[in-house]
Amino acid sequence: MNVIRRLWRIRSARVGVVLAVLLLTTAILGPMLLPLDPNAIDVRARFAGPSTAHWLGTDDLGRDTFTRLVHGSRMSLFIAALSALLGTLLGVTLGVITGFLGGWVDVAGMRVVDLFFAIPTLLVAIGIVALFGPSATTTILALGIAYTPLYARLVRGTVVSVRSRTYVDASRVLGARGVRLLRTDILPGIVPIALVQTTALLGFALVDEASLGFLGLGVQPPDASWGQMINAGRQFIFQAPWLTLIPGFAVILAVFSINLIGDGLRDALDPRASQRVGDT
Amino acid sequence: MHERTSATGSREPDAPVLEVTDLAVEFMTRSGPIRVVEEVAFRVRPGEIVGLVGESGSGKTVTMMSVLRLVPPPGRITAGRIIVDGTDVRSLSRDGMRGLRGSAVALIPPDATAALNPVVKVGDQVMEGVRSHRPQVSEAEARTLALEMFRRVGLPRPEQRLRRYPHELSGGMQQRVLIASALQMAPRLILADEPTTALDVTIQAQILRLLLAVRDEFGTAILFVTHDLAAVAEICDRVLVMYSGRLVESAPVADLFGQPLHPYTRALMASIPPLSADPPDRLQTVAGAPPEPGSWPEGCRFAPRCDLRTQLGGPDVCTTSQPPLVEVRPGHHAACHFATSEAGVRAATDLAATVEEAEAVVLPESVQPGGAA
Amino acid sequence: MSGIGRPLLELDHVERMFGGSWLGRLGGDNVVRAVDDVTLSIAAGEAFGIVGESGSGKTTVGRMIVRLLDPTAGAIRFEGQDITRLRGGALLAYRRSVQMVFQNPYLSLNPRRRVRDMLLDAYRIHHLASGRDAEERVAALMEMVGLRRTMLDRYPHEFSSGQRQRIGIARALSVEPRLIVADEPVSALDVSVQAQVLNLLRGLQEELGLTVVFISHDLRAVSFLCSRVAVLYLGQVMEVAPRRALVERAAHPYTQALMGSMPSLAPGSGITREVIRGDIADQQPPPGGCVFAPRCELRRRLGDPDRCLTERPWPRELSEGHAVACHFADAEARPDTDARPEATGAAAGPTTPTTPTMVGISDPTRVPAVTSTGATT
Repeated sequence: MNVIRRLWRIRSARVGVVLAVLLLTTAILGPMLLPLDPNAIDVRARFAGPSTAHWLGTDDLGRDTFTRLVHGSRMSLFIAALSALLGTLLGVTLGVITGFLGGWVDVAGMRVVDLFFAIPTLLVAIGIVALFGPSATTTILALGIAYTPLYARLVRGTVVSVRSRTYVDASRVLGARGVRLLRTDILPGIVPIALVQTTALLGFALVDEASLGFLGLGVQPPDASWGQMINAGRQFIFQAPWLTLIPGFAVILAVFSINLIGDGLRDALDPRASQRVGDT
Repeated sequence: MHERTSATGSREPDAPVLEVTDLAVEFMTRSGPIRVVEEVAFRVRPGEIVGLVGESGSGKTVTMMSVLRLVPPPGRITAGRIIVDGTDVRSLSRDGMRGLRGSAVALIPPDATAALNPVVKVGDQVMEGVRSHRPQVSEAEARTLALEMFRRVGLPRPEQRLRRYPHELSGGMQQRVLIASALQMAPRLILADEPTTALDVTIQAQILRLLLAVRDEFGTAILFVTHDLAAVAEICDRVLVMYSGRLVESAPVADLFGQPLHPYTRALMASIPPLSADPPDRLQTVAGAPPEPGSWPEGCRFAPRCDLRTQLGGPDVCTTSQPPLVEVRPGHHAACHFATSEAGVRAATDLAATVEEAEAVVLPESVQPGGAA
Repeated sequence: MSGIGRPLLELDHVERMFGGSWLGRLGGDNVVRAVDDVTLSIAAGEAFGIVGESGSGKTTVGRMIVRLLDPTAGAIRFEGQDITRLRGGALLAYRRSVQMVFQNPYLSLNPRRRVRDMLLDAYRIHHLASGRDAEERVAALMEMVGLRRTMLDRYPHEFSSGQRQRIGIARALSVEPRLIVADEPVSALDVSVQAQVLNLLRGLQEELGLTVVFISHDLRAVSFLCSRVAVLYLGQVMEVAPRRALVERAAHPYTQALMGSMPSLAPGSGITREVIRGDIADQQPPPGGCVFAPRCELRRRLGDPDRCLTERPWPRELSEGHAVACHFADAEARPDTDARPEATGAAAGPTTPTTPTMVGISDPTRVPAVTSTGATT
């Protein structure tokens, strides 16, 4: 609660939160409120410019861009959220296990992570998509798995550093160990970094979903997602640039809002900075 | 930089190398300025070692940094005059200030490891120190000078040491390197900020001795900032005691320890455990902790913790009016309404006697100064 | 103080090496012997001091006693039982008997936990108390260390450094231990606050009959608190002495150097005496000899006898409870056969220090003058 209040006091984070709430509301409620079917084809209104009927115009099949954008936001945000969540779950678990147990578990775990680390995130994702075929589910799986090595490494490093803090020694001397030590001293120590990292993943995931979509490896037509829309618009980039630019802009806006929140969180979670933040 | 002598005409041989008058430093915060130092005034004469003593938050380091105009950012000097070697520091240009830092005044920081660049050989760092301030000095000359200085500060095998990286030297050696680096500019004043705190006891003693030797051989004045009263007693000529941003006592070292007239000074002295075969059951302590900067109490800032005030039945004047620093004995200043009250003087005399007795440790014959000969 | 006089804690030829997994040793990594054959015995109810500088191994000894580290050789016995191999329930039981107070009160308290939770830990872990009972005990602990029970819901950053150290002490006391290892508990505190915490430790030791192992670099604090003191240097015990013997007739040249290096509150007494040369890191100690030999004044006065380099001096008793690890500790009182006759001449004073100190510096203003004339060429 405290953290949220502190976050709200940071002006830039406030902007981020407002944007995020707007986006989320649009994604959740929008599709129910809009009259048009996102997949309704109207060949007479192909590549139409903005009008009262089509606020943001139409695409090559005469589908309403605004409606698709809103429906796509639901899909894009859904994919981003789930893949960030998956990456977090896997990363934290792996990082805590290797960092806390140490020894050969650590060595083995980190070697595997290193292996994945050597390959760019997107390539890992592409590989997984190639294995299972493109779909929303595979996109989530692929991105979640692809983010795991980075996350695990980060968490492991934090756990190792927290584990060697004097207050952990103090708890050990008192007799705390295992799960209790994790709960009281270690996990609270990684929460701030995990929150910030998960927020960052949300941003990455939005961009990467768009990239996969752009490569045609993400959500498959006729379903709309921002990435899929960018991909579809690509062929008409000179005729109808808004088809690419509008979903692109949506991605940028979402990532921007997430980054603002992430930066704010980092400050708000630093207990020493509480006063400084309070002053802002 | 060479013109510093001509800055003013008043350079009698005994003119102070440092004169601070009515210094005030404020830290700007969003909830308004906080005065962390006020009404601080003192002088340091050539060849004099002056101790500036205080606990954390007393303003001692800020006071020292003011001399170099190096008060960290939210902090600002808001009043007072600082004259270093005839130069008014507050009116100097940026370049002038830089020149002064490299020539007339040198700073010895508390943490030598942090002050040295870890990836540059110490010899190169020391030589760079000279050459950045005196571009006309050739590399060979700088090297000769550095060697000479390394030898003088007691670094064994100086030729080899020049080629060492900081991590290859122990803490004591690193501190010697910094002192050598400061000395090569032949400063008139050295500001030593807790120069021994990070060091082991035996090395501390060596560095303190080195500071004494520097003064004796070079005639350099030293402003020695520390929390360690005993170190002050050992090497200083005069002592300034700070509490909550103000000077509370200032006296020649023998007078301060012979008759500590401010209750805070007494509290500090009494709280140091004696090295004794029959220690007291309890150490005398002051209740509580020093106030946070900015939330100073009304009147005398030490009043809430003062045992003399308690003894006197809690006179109101202590909480209503701030006692000024006045000369209560020749050369001995104290900022206490009751510095020379009967109870105050008795407390001072008693404490001094106790301390003298406790400190007269009979060291084993073999430790008795061989070096005193 | 102990009825039977049996020691509560014994360190028996304890050794701890660092640096060197089996892999590293194959690669020829340096192995550091942080604690080297330390044997000590501490009686119940005693306040025992361990003094040393950085690198002396004093902290390592403390951490081995509380089982944060295991010795690589030797045994540590608590009430006669070797604790170095305890596991599971037996280790947990040991943790109820032995606690630690840490050096830095800013690092030793979890910044994200309230004081109440930290103090309740002990009762939860050891199932000592719960509910109202535990709450009452926690409040009593706070009062015992001079804090108010209303402070229980605060976080560490809301306390001053002295108060934090009191919380650290309260936490150590929460399991009602018999032994407390205090590792430099006051060195991070301001002078006036140090005295408060020292008084608190002393009061608790007397009232609760605690055994205290007080680890410090500060001879003053140690002599105030401890009735017996061990002096460590580079992992070895140099001297063990009751307080009076330590203060009045320290026998080891290193102990003497430590005492001679302490600044005194009496102005003019002057630490102008040169009692010790060089740094710990300055010279490698001779393998097999005395670790202090390279810096030893006594050895120099005796004309650098070879025995110091070839034979490790083991602690030997000079008098009841006063042991010293030096071949020549009593050489000057009763000149030993090993000491050379020149010893008397050399004892007149260290006149030829091997380290060049500031001698024969003429006019300081010359120094820059030399360079500036050079610069005109």
